[in-house]
Amino acid sequence: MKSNRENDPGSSGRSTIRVEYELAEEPAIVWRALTEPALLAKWLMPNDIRPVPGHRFTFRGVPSASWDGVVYCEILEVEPGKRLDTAGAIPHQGMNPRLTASTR
Amino acid sequence: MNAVGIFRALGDTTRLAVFECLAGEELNVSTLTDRFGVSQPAMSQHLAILRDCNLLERRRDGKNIYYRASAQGMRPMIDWFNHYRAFWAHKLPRLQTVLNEIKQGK
Repeated sequence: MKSNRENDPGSSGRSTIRVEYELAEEPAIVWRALTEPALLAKWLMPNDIRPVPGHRFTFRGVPSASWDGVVYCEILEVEPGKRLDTAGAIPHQGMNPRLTASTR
Repeated sequence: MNAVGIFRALGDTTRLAVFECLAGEELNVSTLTDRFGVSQPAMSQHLAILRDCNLLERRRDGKNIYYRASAQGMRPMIDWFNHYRAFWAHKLPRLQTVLNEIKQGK
């Protein structure tokens, strides 16, 4: 695993922080870590993800003074084993974390 | 001052340009007014907003007051960015662990 780019303004403009990582593992293994709730929870946060376009789910993080701990997400695009695109929202912080994974 | 105030202060084209300019050199209000083509009251207002966020330092020299960007002023914003960098810096090694476990059939 290596970091390719950080804080690349990219095409989305100045208000985006972009962090990109490349993983060496087989896509099928990465796919499981991203789409099976128990495995995803192990490294990211408890969740109820299902890799189905349009599926709405949440991540439940540890609440803080400025955050109730919930990230509201939706599956945008699924290509099993190849591509996963999710859009998220942390409403009162005005943040829209987006997680995208794809094979090269 | 928190990050919100700094984002708000710098979220204006003129103020951001003034701040960037003052990061390079120390200037007084009239020089800044000339350089940015705004009225002196408008420039004073911009400077007041930047100062309220501790983004500027002020030095009086006779009748003139000189401004420059404060080295410490950006700290809350840098902390804010670091918080999110740290989030992924913390999570990604855990992802690697999970990937290894899947490979080993655990």
